[in-house]
Amino acid sequence: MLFRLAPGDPAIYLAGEGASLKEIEAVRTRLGLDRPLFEQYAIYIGDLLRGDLGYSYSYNAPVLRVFFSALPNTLLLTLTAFLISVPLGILGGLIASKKPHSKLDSVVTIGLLAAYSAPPFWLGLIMSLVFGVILHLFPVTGMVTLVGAGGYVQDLIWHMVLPVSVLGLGTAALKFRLMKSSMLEVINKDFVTLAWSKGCDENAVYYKHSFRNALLPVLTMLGLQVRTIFEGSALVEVVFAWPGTGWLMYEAIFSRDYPLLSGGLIVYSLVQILSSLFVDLLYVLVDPRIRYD
Amino acid sequence: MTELRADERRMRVGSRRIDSMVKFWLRFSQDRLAVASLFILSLLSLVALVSPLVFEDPLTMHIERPDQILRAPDLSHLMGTDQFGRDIMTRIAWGSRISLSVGFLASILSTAVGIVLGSLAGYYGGIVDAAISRLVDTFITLPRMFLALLVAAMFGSSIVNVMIVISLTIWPSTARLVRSEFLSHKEQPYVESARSVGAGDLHIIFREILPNTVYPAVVNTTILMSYAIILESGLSFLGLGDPTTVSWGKILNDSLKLLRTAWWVFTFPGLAIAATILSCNAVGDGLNYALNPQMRARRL
Repeated sequence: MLFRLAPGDPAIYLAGEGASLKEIEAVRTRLGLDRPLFEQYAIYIGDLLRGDLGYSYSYNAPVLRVFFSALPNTLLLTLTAFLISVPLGILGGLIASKKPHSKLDSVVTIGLLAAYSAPPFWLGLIMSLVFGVILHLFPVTGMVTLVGAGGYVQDLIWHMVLPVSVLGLGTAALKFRLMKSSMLEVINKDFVTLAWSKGCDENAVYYKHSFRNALLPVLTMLGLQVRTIFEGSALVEVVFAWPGTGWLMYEAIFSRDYPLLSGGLIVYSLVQILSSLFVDLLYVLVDPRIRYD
Repeated sequence: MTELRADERRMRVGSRRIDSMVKFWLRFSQDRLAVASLFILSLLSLVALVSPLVFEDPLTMHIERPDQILRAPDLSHLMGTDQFGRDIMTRIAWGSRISLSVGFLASILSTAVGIVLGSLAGYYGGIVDAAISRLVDTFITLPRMFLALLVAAMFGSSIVNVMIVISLTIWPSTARLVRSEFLSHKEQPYVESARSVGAGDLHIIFREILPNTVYPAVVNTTILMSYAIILESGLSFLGLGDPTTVSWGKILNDSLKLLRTAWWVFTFPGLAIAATILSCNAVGDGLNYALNPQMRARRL
């Protein structure tokens, strides 16, 4: 609804430059843009309930199909980054919590805080400068090389290295931080003292008694990070010209493709809701005290 | 006689206030990273304030200087020049005015909105709580960056619009914090005693409960400020910032095509953003430690 209040007429854009008034009118009638706003809205909601997100003006295809054609590329990027950052952040935080306030610990902590503070698109620029332009190690744009260059999978992985590390670094840093502070909190609890006093060895205290209890706040954050990583991915996709959904939305903004924009927003929100649900279910695995009836 | 006593009492309250401020500073200053960050933020704010006096306006800056184009950093241009021969340091100094004021004002505005809605929801409960909580859930679910992008793309991106859009997308966390604080405070004896002497709802919310519950929201403001600055730079980086101003993200946007030729054009504005975000987070941690004794175990 909001989208239609905005300035700029998609019919004019679609009919192309130099189109006559009649042609513009024809486009408008075909898209239903000439009907009253509330009627358009009612039709949109009706379609939405039937799983139809509308028709993308600029791609001339249903929104869902356009969106899902780009989604695998984004998922490839975000899931890989996510899967790498989870063990990196959690294990790193766990190890760092064993020796807090050491020199190495402060250096690592400040370094990761800096990685988390740098905007991902800028980190992307810096990395493509260092590894792409100066060292010529990795390609800086696109998903695959157009001609030649060995096997497809190998080429794809080669292109993924930079965007994935940019995305993974920031999210891993946050998990590291939370895991460490959460461990330090748990380690002072009475039941940990009890575990020490009944003669458990270090591994049992850390990995059996403390780790699972310290994991809960990190899990909560994992759910919220799904959004962060998708948003970060959008900007990183623009930097590396990666043909995913972020790139799609970026282009849709400039072509005033309202159905694609609103459809994208709805799909992203659904992803967020599903991932929160998934995290809620994970709680049960980690903490047996939590039960859902 | 009675006047004297009132005076004396006022003085005691005053010295208590100074006392607690001293205590606060002593605790805050234990965190060296936080103190250093506070210093960096003050320095950047100072740069933002005085830059019109020291540097020439980048919008009126004479841009046809063929001999000055894309010069690497040297003594006359400490951070080099861009493809139009404009001094990068000047642009960053002017950009700090926009980036910092957007961050500052958006975080204040969204904190205010979050505090008001959060306290109403926590205090009244029932249908008010249900309505506000659903609103919070909705905004937390929406992808922040895209929402900001869309609204900026649709309604134009004047600096005021950018600020409002950012505030709209970051207020829910404060509302949640304040709501949960109110839930635990509203049943406490001091609230009941205020009510028993005839205090109205508004008085109880803003004069009784809020002063006791506002600290988490204050700490959160620094986090919101970092979000606001990141969002603004992201918007400007994608070319959706206010086209009539210079901000850090805008300089990065202008530098996109210079990746292979001029490292200095995009390195320095990014460093400015990263330093600011890092400082906001560290100051937030320090405040948290100084203001909230329960959270001590949680800090880094």
